[in-house]
Amino acid sequence: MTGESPHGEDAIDAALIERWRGGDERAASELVARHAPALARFAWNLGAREDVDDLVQDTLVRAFGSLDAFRGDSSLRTWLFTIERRLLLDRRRSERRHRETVGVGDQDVATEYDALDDVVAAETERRLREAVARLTPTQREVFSLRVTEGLSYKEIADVVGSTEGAARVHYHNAMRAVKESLT
Amino acid sequence: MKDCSRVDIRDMLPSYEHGRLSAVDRDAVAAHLANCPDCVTELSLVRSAARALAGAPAVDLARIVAALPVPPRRREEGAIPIDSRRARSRPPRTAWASSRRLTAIAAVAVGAAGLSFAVGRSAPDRPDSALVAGSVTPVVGTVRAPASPAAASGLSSAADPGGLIVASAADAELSVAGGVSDLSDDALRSLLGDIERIDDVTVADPAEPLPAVTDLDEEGGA
Repeated sequence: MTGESPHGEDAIDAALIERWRGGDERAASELVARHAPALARFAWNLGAREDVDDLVQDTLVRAFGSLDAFRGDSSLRTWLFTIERRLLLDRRRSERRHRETVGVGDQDVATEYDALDDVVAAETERRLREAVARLTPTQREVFSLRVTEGLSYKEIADVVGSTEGAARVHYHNAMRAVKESLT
Repeated sequence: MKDCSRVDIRDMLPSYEHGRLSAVDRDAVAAHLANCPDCVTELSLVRSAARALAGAPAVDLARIVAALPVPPRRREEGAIPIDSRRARSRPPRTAWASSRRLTAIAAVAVGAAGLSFAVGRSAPDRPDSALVAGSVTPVVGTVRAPASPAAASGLSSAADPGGLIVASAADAELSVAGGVSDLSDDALRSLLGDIERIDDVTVADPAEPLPAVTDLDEEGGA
């Protein structure tokens, strides 16, 4: 097998970044439009709810503030996911410390997803979401990035700070668990 | 649901769904799907999961764009050019004996340690070492100005319409650092005139190579 083909999206992103660096602020609007929805999906699938908007904004503000540090070794989207994931983990750590301080109990992940019933169109999709909610956090991240964004295992490994082999194992374990939930 | 034994094909199903496979791999997956109901089921599951997990709320793109930093080029363009800044901030001319000019004279005269005027013109009896030892660092950069009358003693500046004018310690033993009070009135006026004209000149970037010291004798200096 020859593997995945080069992504033309990377070339588009690179051109937009150069335009922005040259002072074209419209390029920033285009970049935001290209990547904000995927960032919102990723945040949502990792459990963010009311703060999805803020999280996506913080991610993009940070990214644009350090675009000089973006070397293009990975795709722009992968880099953005990495930043967003780090921000989300920082927020969760902070929230956990707050809950420990004020004595608030942890929310059950499945409970969070019950609220999605109002939005769910199909029974299968609802059950899928419940199944994904029961995955381990890493499995959920990997599964989400693989099926919703189509990221390669290499790209997923870059985002979650793992190896390509580990990402592949997590994905297949997640897929097995989801299949078992639906049967 | 059973897992197909072709893990390599199952590995590629999400990429197949997102159109990220090479033509060769895409054709291989398509050919396998034609004969494998287990992989067809798994591909269907991948599609359903993608739809199920895509239910994030829409984000406010305009708000995000408004919060972004200014592009680097725009930040640079926002800097005020030195000339125009100097032009705007130049104070109105007052009598040459104003305290500001006296301050400028003191700064020129005393200078910092190691500062000196390049000797643009050597007096016949001055050896080349009259180029003040250590540095050839014009305090005031380069000046274009018409000739000013030579002073009887002390400082004089040589006219060089086509090139540089460097305040020179021409004949006198007196160095600029020696004492402004030693200057004659004419010499003082001449110096002040040069200082005023210096205001019209862009200060050279210290990082740029210094202009060569011209031999004013050859150029017919005063």
